[in-house]
Amino acid sequence: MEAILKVKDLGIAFGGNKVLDSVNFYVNEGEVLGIMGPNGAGKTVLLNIISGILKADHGEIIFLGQNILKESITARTAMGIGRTFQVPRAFEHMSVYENILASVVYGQKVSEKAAAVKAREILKLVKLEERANEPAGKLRLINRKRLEIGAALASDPKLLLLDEVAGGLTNAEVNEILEIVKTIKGRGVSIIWIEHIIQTLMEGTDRIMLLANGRDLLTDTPEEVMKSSIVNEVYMGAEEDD
Amino acid sequence: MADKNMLKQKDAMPKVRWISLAVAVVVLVSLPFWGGDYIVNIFTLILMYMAIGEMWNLLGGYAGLVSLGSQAFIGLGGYSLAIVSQVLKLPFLLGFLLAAIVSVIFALLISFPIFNMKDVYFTIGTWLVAEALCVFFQTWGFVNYNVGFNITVARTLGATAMYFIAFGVAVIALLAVVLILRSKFGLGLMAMRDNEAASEIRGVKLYRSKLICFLISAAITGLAGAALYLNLSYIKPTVGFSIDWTVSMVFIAVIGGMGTIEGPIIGAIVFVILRQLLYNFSGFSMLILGVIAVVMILVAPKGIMGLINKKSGFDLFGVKRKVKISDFQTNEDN
Ligand SMILES: Nc1ncnc2c1ncn2[C@@H]1O[C@H](COP(=O)(O)OP(=O)(O)OP(=O)(O)O)[C@@H](O)[C@H]1O
Ligand SMILES: [Mg+2]
Repeated sequence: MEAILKVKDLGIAFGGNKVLDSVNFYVNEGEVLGIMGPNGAGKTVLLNIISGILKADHGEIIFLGQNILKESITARTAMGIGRTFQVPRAFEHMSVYENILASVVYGQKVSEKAAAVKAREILKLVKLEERANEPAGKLRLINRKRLEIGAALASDPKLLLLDEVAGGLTNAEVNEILEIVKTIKGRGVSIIWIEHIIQTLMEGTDRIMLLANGRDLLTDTPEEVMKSSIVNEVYMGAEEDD
Repeated sequence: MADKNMLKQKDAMPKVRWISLAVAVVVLVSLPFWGGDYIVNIFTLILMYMAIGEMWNLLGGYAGLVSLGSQAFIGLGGYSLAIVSQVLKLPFLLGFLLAAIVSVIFALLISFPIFNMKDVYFTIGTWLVAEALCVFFQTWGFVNYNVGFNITVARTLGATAMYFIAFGVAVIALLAVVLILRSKFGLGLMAMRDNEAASEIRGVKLYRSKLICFLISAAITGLAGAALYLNLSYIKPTVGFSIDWTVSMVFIAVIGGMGTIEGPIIGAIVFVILRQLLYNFSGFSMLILGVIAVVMILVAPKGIMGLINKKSGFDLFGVKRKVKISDFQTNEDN
């Protein structure tokens, strides 16, 4: 199987705070890679570097065989990297439909007319048809998360980065998100999925990476990761630190 | 079904919209034929201030560019008119053409340095550029240094002609904003307005979008500057390049509602009427307007349009994109 994304020796520090020391991993085509790790481990920072919002101090990011570290944010979107934000960042004064429409128009560089068809498909996929004409700013959390996923899909990404899309939801809602992610995976999209809820990662991912102390401490199948003593150590350690 | 009712209401919207717009056009076009000179003059001012308010709003309300240097284009516009009519003795309407061209070129030139400045530095940068321009004009013999020009053609122009020039400028400004927002570019602009960082991730090219707004705003502000000085009939650097112009634009946008098309229209009406009422306190009028603006920001940060919008989905110019539930049913099969 061919890796769609390879990350090598990635590191970043803010002032004296070395958040990522050396992170190494890959994502196979069509695979869902889960990432777990304590609060402040640098999971969101990692996504920010992959999507171009932050510049790494060292390392390589190979996407579809090409080092993308020098590419702009919009270029990476155009190349096929889509992402959600941990705290949803909708266009609050635009309707749900307009949010997706704008993201399709700019993400896929198509006319508004062509985008309208695709936008409707995405709204159906994330189950927001009923809310299409409502202002995005008035949605409740589950629908904000749905919209966030929809907006990330709007550029027709080959790699989708999900940052805690199931965080803060009820069990029933988490299952709905899980279904949506499975549908997206079914369409051949590769996914990196950051989540705190272990159960969700167990069900929704092919492999899980544990990110802590600035490193990829462990990457394995969900079953193996759960059995590992490292996970316990990291989370127990983190709790003691608190 | 609640959804169906909601959609029905929205379908009725275009009718209301067209009727309101038609009434507004009829009233404005016929105004000089039934209104007295005083009313015509007031509306001349409202139309011109609306135009510059819309242009500042395009920057501050949509593109996230808080400029305190828009007076540069008012001054350039006014001087273009003065030079064409007083120095070159050409038809004054050519002054409007020159105003727009000079403003765009100047905007393009200063965009290279100031677009590399972020946030408050951009704001200060624009202000410094306008101040520098003022100083330059004060020391430039070709434009009569500090003394400036009497724009004599203005005196041959009646109130009605002046009104229709202001009307033309207002229509250009409004049409520009409406066409932009109804276009693909406008979709990206609204996204930028709501969340710049997210819009960039979704593919909106920030630098390019901002630059386009900056150039359009400059051109039409320059055009309005020519109209304003045709009306004032006298220009000198310290007045033409005065920051008071931009303060007025900010007031108009803030009072009316930033990031909406309707906001600056309402804001301009409020501004011109308030200024007339405060005429006797000329020394304090800017201060009083400033206090009103600050109170407005605290009480209703989204301006008068924000208050209106909360109650109804007001959209006079049809820039909102709607989708019908039936559109979803037609491609249910895939
Ligand atoms: N732009 C930045 N500038 C400075 N420090 C930053 C920046 N972004 C993140 N950090 C720091 O990097 C560390 C990791 O943050 P990050 O948001 O990646 O954690 P996380 O693993 O996503 O945690 P959580 O599970 O709480 O979301 C934190 O200490 C944070 O303060
Ligand atoms: Mg995070």
